Amino acid sequence: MTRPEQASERARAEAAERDYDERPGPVAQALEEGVRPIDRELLRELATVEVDPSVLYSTQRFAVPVTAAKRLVFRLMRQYTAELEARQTRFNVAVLAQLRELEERVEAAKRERG
Amino acid sequence: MTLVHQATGVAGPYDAVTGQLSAYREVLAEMGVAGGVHAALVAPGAPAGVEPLERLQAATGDVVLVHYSGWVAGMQPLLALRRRTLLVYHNVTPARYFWRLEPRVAVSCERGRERLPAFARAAHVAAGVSRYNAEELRAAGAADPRVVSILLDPAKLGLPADGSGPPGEGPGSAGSGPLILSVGRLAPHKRPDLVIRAFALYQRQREPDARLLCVGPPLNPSYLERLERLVGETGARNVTLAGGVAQAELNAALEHASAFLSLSEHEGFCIPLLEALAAGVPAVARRAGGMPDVGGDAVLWTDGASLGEVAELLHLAVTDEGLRVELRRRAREQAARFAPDRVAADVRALVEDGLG
Repeated sequence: MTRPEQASERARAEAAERDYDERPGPVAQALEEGVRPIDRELLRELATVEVDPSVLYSTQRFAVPVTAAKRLVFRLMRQYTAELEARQTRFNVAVLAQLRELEERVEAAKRERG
Repeated sequence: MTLVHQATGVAGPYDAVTGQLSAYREVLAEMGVAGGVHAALVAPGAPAGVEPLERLQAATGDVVLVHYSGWVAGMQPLLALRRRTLLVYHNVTPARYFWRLEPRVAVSCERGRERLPAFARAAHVAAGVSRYNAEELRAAGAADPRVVSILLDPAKLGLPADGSGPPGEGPGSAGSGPLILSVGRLAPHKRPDLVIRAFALYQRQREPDARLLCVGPPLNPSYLERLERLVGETGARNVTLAGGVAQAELNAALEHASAFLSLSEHEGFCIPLLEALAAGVPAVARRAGGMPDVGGDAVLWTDGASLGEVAELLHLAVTDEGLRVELRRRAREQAARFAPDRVAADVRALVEDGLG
């Protein structure tokens, strides 16, 4: 019998012996990336606003027709929402550019100070 | 007569905090204390009796008990209250888990963490549902936060006692291989992706007939679809992503389960782990957040760094009969620490101190 306190060590040893292939496939990797902390690359990705129609759905009664109706309204309003997305993206990208410039100035100031 | 009103952000079905609203209501009723139950957002399927927050009318001298697990629009009145407040902190998931998949939830989490200090400082008495949560409250500025665990009555839930009695029917009742049960919302911080991957390794190397049952509603259809694709990618078979289920079905799943698995990276408490312990199901879990408080020495802990190790822990939890007996014995002792009469006494003390 294995004591609970010994289980982890024993499991590690067994796992090493069995040589588990833990490499993630593309789907697993994408899910991993989804939980990583915010960095510059993620900020760049988030700056571009693009609403995915699949986020429009209903789980209430009559979910199927309600979901279809929501997506239809989204399509009908696409001209307007696309304009909103573009303006928001423009603002986000401008803020990021300012941030990058600020970072460069901070770096330059640090270098000047030695 | 002084009333104690309860308030929270969102009330809905399959929601731990909503469950606590009902459990607290019973304790308050036993104390002879009346009061309403309110939520800023009352989702479809929420228990009867939960009213919108705008209907909260707390008179001078009344107490408002806030269950805090995040910020949603409509909670502003709670910060403007000129009433004695009690705070029960259920934790707020870090926003980073949601930025890509569900920005609205991410914003809610970010705001929830931003506004925690305001609630913590305003509370006359503050409590976290685990030591982990109490420490976060202290860091947020609460004076002398205490621990008041989650109120969970296994008898009322009808949880199975160590597999005695005939197993019920539910999503895990079909099939003959060992059933690995994972319970919790299918959301990124709970890492159902790692559960699926670890199970796939376990099934491939150890138990080809093993089954995995994941119980819990998905964050959104897109995340569910990704998890389904992951199941295909890993080659795992016998995997069921059951969504939210009724308590009776969950109980049936616990009766059939050979082991419980959680690789969640963030938990304020983890009710499913306590339910698994109460049902005598050997558990493998990541040592994260409030989970060590709940599981104590009755769980096979992992840091989650190696999925091969998790697979081997599952194998031990399923096949090592001596280990299973020992884990069941410890689980009984550990679950007894959260016995409803004990926790109810803590709740009563919290309310009495709040009443002054």
